[in-house]
Amino acid sequence: MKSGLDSSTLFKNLRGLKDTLVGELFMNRRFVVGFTIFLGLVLLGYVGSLFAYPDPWDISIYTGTTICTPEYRFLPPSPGHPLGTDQGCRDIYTWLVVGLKNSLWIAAVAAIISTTIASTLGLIAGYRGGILDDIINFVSNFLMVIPMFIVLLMLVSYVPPEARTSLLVAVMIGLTSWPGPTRVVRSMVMQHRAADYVDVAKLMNFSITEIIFKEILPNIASYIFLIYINAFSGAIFAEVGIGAIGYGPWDAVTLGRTFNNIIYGGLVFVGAWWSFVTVGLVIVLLSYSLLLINLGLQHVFNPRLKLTYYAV
Amino acid sequence: MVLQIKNPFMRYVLSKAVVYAVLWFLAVFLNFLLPRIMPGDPIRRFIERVYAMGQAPSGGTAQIIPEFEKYMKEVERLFGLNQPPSLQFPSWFLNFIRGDWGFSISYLNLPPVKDLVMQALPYTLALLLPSLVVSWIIGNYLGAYLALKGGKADKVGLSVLQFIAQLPTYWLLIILLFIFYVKLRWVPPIGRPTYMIPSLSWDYIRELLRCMALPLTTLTIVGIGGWSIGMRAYVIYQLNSDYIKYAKSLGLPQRVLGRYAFRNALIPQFTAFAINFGGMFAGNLLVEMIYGYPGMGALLATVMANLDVFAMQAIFTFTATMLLLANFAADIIYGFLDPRIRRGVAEVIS
Repeated sequence: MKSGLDSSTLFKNLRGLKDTLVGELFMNRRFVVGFTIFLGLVLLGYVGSLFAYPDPWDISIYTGTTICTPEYRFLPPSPGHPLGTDQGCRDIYTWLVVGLKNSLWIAAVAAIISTTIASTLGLIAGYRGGILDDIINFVSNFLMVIPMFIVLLMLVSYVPPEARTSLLVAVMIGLTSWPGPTRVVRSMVMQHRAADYVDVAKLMNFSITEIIFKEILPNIASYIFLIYINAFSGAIFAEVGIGAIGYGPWDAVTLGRTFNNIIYGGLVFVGAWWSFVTVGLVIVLLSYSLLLINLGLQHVFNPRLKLTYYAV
Repeated sequence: MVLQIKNPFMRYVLSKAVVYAVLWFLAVFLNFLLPRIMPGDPIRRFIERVYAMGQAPSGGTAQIIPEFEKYMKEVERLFGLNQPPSLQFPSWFLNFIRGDWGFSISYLNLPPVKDLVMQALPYTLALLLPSLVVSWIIGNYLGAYLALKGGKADKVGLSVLQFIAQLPTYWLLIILLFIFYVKLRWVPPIGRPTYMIPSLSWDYIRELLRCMALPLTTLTIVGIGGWSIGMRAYVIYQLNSDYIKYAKSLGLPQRVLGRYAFRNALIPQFTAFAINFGGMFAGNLLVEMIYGYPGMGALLATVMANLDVFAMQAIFTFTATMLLLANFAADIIYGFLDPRIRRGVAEVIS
């Protein structure tokens, strides 16, 4: 933009648009419900862990010793242990909130990785076309046919346990979840490639990088945000899945690990329903709230969906 | 040489077959390559594991069995590791095609991996196939019902189904296990009656059904959620299409319109069924583990826990093969059911 007047009016318009979008979002009931639940869970993870025991593994704070004795095993809920204790005398509430916090972090990192790869590849493939597009499209189609959860499981089981850190697990989840989103971004970019504003940018001698990242990217940013939410939800499920099987991160307590503990610790058979119902409910509410957020965003971002009411 | 095939459907099938053959080869190669390039060197750890198995503990101290070097040479020969790297893949690949999938070090008698898979497969299919079929049928009718009904029932029903489809199967299974085993003692907590001799008697079948009731119910309930949401969307898409609008303008009754929409919405559901059928061969790891059920998922968990790299490779390759076959079948079914492709009027949109 050459003159300052133009850019300031543009900025104002953008802000106006943003205001209406955000305003519209908070008028959407699904989005509000989903957002509230999600916020509540984030608070449970981050604020709740302030009220938990400092170390999920350290039982000596309330037992006095590091040895687990039967009187501290499978305790029912009490003020000291809101969700009781497990077979190793560990406090389940601490495991839940610390696990929730770590799982949210892992999912956020994994989703950033997969969204970044998907956006970059999708933008390049969709805009450039040609042989590069063919290659990217073939690879992502190929990887979409193979169930990525099994590939992820294979990858994490090949890594020695002591090397399996939270970051590595997050990276692996991110690296196995980009093919689907790439296809979405690619088709979105292909729709935008023929748009008038891209033609204008071409006439103004913008370089390809500029057109892709300065012109097209801001226009599909809302969809990329949608993809991020989707990837986040998928990453939570992936982490809980591999964690529950026993191949989650080794250095941190996560929701998957907590679930693994519940499955193998015999909490079901001693009748400690308060533990597994709460942990499972947290996982279910997390994914359900993300689904509601996603549906709400779709409704607001995509006016065509609003006309036909075709929510999947 | 240029093949001249007149039949458009056959041409479609052949082109798909070529694509899937390439995909399959790539999947197998990737599967072969992964343990060799992963950090932590899984092959090295595998060899160390076999080495540890060769050390027979006696009197508290590990004692190396005699002729150990010879033994290790034999192990390397058995897994094809004595060949140069460029020859390892062709020999492994040819062996896999011939049905020689190597043996597993996860069990003491070192059974062939193929036997393990063939033992586990019937159990997995017995668990997953009924729930897949039942949930597919119920889900289709439920989804179509909601889409055609519309209004309040549709909104409430969709929300409920979305919630159900989000439920992790293992969590639902644990809750049902708690209610029906721990509290009510109606069902046993195992996936098959190990306390009875398998036979075709009424008693055994009844007991088997009682054992499988919970996992079957769980998988069916969650499956219904997913299938009906998909079907609802497809029926709504069909209802908004031009041909239905045209038929409506001709004055066709709602019932007939619904039938048209239902039939056309079933096409993607058929292909999705075929793809899910292929996914079934991997088993359901968590459900099988919770229930101690001897299916493919449990087998995979066992070999993974033992870092049985070559058994893992064979099982993954088998799973990928079944999946790609199912995807191929899905494409063929799609082409066959869609008259536009069958008669070569339109190219398939993929």
